[in-house]
Amino acid sequence: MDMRMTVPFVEALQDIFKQMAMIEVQTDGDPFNDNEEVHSYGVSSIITFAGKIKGRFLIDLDTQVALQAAKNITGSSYDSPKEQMVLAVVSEMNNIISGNAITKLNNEYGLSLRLAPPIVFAGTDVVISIPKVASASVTCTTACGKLKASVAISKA
Amino acid sequence: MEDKYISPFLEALKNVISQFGVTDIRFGKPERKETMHVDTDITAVLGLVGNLRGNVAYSMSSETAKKTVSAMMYGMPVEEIDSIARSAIGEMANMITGNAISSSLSLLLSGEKTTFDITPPSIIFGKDIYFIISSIETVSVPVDTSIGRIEVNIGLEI
Repeated sequence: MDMRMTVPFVEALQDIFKQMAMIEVQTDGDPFNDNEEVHSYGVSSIITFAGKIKGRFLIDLDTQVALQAAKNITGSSYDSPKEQMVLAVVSEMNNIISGNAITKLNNEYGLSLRLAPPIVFAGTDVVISIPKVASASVTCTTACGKLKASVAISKA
Repeated sequence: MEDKYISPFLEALKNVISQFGVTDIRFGKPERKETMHVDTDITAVLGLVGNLRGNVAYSMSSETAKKTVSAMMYGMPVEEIDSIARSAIGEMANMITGNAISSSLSLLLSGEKTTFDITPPSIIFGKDIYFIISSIETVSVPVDTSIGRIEVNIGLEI
């Protein structure tokens, strides 16, 4: 997979986390080819897109990062990542991040991508797999925990 | 979301799995909810883009998943859900959703220029998972079959 595809997603992720949730996100290094299986840190959100190519963008957050983001955005504290408001916040953040990234990709490469609505979930021992599609991930660190951004692209 | 948008997915599911030799397919009562709680092991979810936008998720237990994959592979025994089995489950989700779109949904939306596309399926494993697949509402329909229960969750933005 072309590692350039991850750049707009990671940039938008850093921007939106800073602007909306006041969380600084530092990348740990360059994107790497990830396994087909991703073990969730706690709360994950997937957004899929289709156009001249197809793919998905995954953000995977430590529970603490999700709770902190929900607290900073809504002003209330939450105990569990399974609360609807926490899931809704992560889902909306992913929607905005992906919207920004997709606009950049469309402008730059003319891919005519369209987004499906975000999916968000939290559970116990969650593993996410996207069969037969190569993915590139970037791990990141914030003051309240880890997060991972992963982009997978397949030819349409 | 009106009921007429739900039945194409159920009919497609019936169509596809009966081709694999699954019988006794009965649809349960649809339930509407905001968050979707899944206590089965495996969920395959894929998105729709175009003039119909949304997500569709199919959930089942690992027993049902093994039997489904086995049925898809002409009865080959399936001991565990490995990457081939996952790929088969994803393919089934693709087939059902593709079938629903091409057969009935495009008729429902006739008059409009139909520009649908299906996004790649993601397979999610785990226990006790809370999902939100649509910001509006999710309609969940249990489907009982000879190989166990498959839950169809439809979240369309209409």
